[in-house]
Amino acid sequence: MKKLISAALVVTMLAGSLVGCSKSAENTGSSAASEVAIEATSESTDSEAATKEATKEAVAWKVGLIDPGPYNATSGPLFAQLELTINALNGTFTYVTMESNSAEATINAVKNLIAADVDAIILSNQALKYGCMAEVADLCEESEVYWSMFWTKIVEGEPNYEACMNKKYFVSTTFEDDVESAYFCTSTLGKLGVKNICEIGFPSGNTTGDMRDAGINKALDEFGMKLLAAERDETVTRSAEGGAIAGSRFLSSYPEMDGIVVAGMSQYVLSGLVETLKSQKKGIDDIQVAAIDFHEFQKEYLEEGYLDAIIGGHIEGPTYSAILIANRINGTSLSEEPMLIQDNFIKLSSKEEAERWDEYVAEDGYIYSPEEIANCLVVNNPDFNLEVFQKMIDDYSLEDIVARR
Amino acid sequence: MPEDNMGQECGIAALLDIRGGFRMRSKQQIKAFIAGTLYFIMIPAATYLIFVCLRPASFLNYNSIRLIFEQSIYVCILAWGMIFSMKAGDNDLSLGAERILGCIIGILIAKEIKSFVGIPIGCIGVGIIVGGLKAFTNSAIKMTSIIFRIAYTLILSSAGAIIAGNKSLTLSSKYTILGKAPWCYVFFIVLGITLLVVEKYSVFSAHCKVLSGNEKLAKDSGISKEKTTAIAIMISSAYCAISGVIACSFGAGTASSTGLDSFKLVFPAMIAVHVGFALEKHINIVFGVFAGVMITNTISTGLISLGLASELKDTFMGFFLICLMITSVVTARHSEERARREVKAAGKKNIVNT
Repeated sequence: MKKLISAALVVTMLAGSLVGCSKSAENTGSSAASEVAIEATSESTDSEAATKEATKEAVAWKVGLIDPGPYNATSGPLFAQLELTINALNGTFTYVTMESNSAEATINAVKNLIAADVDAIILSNQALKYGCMAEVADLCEESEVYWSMFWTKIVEGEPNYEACMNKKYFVSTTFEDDVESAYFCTSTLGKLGVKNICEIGFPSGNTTGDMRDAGINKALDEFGMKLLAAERDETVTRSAEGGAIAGSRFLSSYPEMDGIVVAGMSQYVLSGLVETLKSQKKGIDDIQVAAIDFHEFQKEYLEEGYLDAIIGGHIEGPTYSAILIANRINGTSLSEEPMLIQDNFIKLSSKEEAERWDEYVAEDGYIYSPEEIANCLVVNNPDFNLEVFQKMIDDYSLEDIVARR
Repeated sequence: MPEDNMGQECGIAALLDIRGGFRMRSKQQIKAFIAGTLYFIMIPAATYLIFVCLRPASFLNYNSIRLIFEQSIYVCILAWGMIFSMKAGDNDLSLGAERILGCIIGILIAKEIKSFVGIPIGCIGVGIIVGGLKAFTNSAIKMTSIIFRIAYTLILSSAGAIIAGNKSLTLSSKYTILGKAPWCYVFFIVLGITLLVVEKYSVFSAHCKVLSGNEKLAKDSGISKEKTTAIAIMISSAYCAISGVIACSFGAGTASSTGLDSFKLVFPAMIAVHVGFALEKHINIVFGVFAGVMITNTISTGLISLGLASELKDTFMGFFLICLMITSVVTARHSEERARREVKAAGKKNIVNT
């Protein structure tokens, strides 16, 4: 009897593991898109029909993505838009889950996607973060799979640049001006009269983190502020609980602190940080906060005064990747060379601006409509070229989103 | 693992001796009580004092101590829950994934019913189900293996990710009441006293102690390892659930984990339990574990206050733990040597008298 129970338990556990580990959602839109996005997409049945009509000549293709995990105000709208984009470009998508945050897990995820017979892969900044870009480039080249990255800057003269730019199947990478984003946050605090700041940021040596630190230092010099301390431990900076701990540590260590810069990962840490400030009855007048990466409750925090400015909304990069890949697969490549694209952030400094973001993006679930995306395929719209594409990238802003709606 | 648990009768814990009331029974006990109290207060206080000397402006105020204490509460509760299972030889690394799963379900229920009550419902519900399943599996298979813990972690992590799906795991302030004063203090005191009573007076606790010393002897004495471990697993799941309630309320949200990432949540608690074991000769382990959590959080906060790179935190923590373990082992050997000498001297005296 006991042997039978043991065998049943082992089988149950194995079945559970298999179900859990094989989390993939092929073209279901269920894995990463926000619920609102799915609702918004289902509501626009007419426009989808028009899109399908328009894309009847486009080649069908399949793209592999890495599962971003639960919804947050940055990855949620990003993947909602990306899924909409892929569908509008006559593509399908499949997700794989990374076993851990490491180079090995990134390479395994890429291998799994290649094994799933994808035509292209769109990665976030994992390859840069875990130092495996050359391996990913070689894998995709050998397998003849197009690939692209977002939130990833590669610089000429560095090994990653050499590893990617001479590869036939490397399509593009998109990145943001991270010196500017951190400068915006820190200078906002400077303008509010802050003198002593603490930072929650990326670990040293991370390209994005180093650029953001350069932006912070630029503002520190300009406004005569002092950086008291920085929390860069990723076991702390990647959770709401960690935000609360970092806030507590700053408050207990630096009574003179009057400003906090969250130089990334606000989607995780900001709620914890604000809760700590609230529980200590601080944060409205005596401690100013500015953050990078949008947060679900940014409107409330801006209204209550716990947040003074936030920069984010950089969710358009993978959509540009998908447009470039789809055109290349259709034989109408916009550029024969791999492209390095700098895209735009969106800055919010008031409750009203946050409300507009929520109304036009968070609630509707997209920044570009299916019709707009379908028109980015040359087979559908012969007038679409590199110049038009570049204008689309340059124009991206909150005003642009509102105007196009 | 502790070699000797005699020290459990000593220290502040003696104050809570129900059988003896508040009466001290001998001079030796008074001496042990003072020594235990000093150990309990002095080790975290000495750590804190180092940072008071280095940055008096930051650390010479009540608010700093309170903030360090508040961020220690949920780690301490998780560590308390792990005491018995670790004594019984089971280092349950899957508790991190279990806590995350409970938090995910709790947050989703809270959002659904629009009340913070959803958080304890989810966390405690998961604790009962997962703890029950683990205990049942353990009793059925009669084996405690790290492979099982890894398997549980993978299953619970992926279950959490699937349940979380594309849903938000961030809470607004109105749901975070249980992570703030006075509720977090109430949980801390009630769970601490409960554990202290169980640890000092229950037969189960005595069985755990015997199992930690000599498993064969325990078996010969009729102690069922499976039954004892199953109870220990249930206790650790219950404490893990409450730790989850406080953690996700404290930070206003949680994040799902992949693979074995959730192990990192368990390590600070395990370190605290080992500090508790190291101090067990002098003070009750419940206090020892709390001292361990306070020490590690004081060091983390202190290093931030010195403006050192946060990456150096682990280096300092590792160095501190090595020093603590060496001191503990040297002190234990010294006491054993002294006891042996005393016995030898007493033996000689008896021979001379005879």
